[in-house]
Amino acid sequence: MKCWRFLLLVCGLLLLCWGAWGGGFRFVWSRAASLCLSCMGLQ
Amino acid sequence: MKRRLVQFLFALLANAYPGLFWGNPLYRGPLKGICFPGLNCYSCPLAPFACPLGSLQQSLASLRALPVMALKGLAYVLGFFLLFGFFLGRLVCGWVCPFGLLQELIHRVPFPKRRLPHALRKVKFLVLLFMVILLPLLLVDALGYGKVWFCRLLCPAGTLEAGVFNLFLRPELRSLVAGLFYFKLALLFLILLLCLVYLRFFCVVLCPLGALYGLFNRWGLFRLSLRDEECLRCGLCEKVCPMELRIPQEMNGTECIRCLHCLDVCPSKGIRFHLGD
Repeated sequence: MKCWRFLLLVCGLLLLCWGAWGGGFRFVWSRAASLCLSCMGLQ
Repeated sequence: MKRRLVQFLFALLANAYPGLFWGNPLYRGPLKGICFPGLNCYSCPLAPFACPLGSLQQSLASLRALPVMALKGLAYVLGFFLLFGFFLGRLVCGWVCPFGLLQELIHRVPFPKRRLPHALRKVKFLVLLFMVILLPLLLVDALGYGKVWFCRLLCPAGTLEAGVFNLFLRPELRSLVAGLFYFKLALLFLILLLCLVYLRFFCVVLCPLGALYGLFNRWGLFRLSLRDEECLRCGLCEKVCPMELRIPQEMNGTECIRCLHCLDVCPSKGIRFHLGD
């Protein structure tokens, strides 16, 4: 595997873990768990 | 046939929440914190997962009002895109996305078929840049919140799965129906109608998720290659390619959805799908 492919993988993992554990998972959860009127075209 | 089965299984997984049968038409549990890789609206009563595009826009739209939380959300979603892009790229479009499956099924209806001008493929990158990234980030209200512009104005999956379905299930929402909803509904019908004529019209021209995953086709883990010495120059691979790609020049370009039809039809088996270079 080329070096930059490995870097891409590591960056992805780091971002995902840092974001998720720091509250990103909860942020996405809170947004996705409420009814999105914009998505429905109602707002 | 195998691909169709996988597509149906993923469509089922993306719409596996049965809560509406016991009067709970929106899943709010922890799975909603995980993004489903394909286009599937999280406000659909059947959806147990989050939509990656919706989550990305929500993070960008909240960056000014809630900088710390939104930044973590943005990192989480970008990490998700990097990993899925790295491991799968546009294989997601060809095998996982429920809206891709819907478009393919509609295209099977007997109707005159046409080819799309290649220049239109670039439009989805503008949709990604403006409607998914710039507008949610820059157009904010007095409190600092932006809007999810792609979902609001364009997303046909949202109109179909969240809009139409929720209005059917929740009569109290019907009073909110106004011009915007009718605009989105007309757009949905237009897109589905165009899918009768053009295969995967939305994927090819408008889908920002496909545009994002397409950027990884060149750098992702899996690649397509053609052994030149084994090629019979029969052109069968180009004939069956649903994305009308030039093979081998565009095999690992942004448009290949990794349906692998070219592998199946190649009489000399000179096309390979493999890890790395």
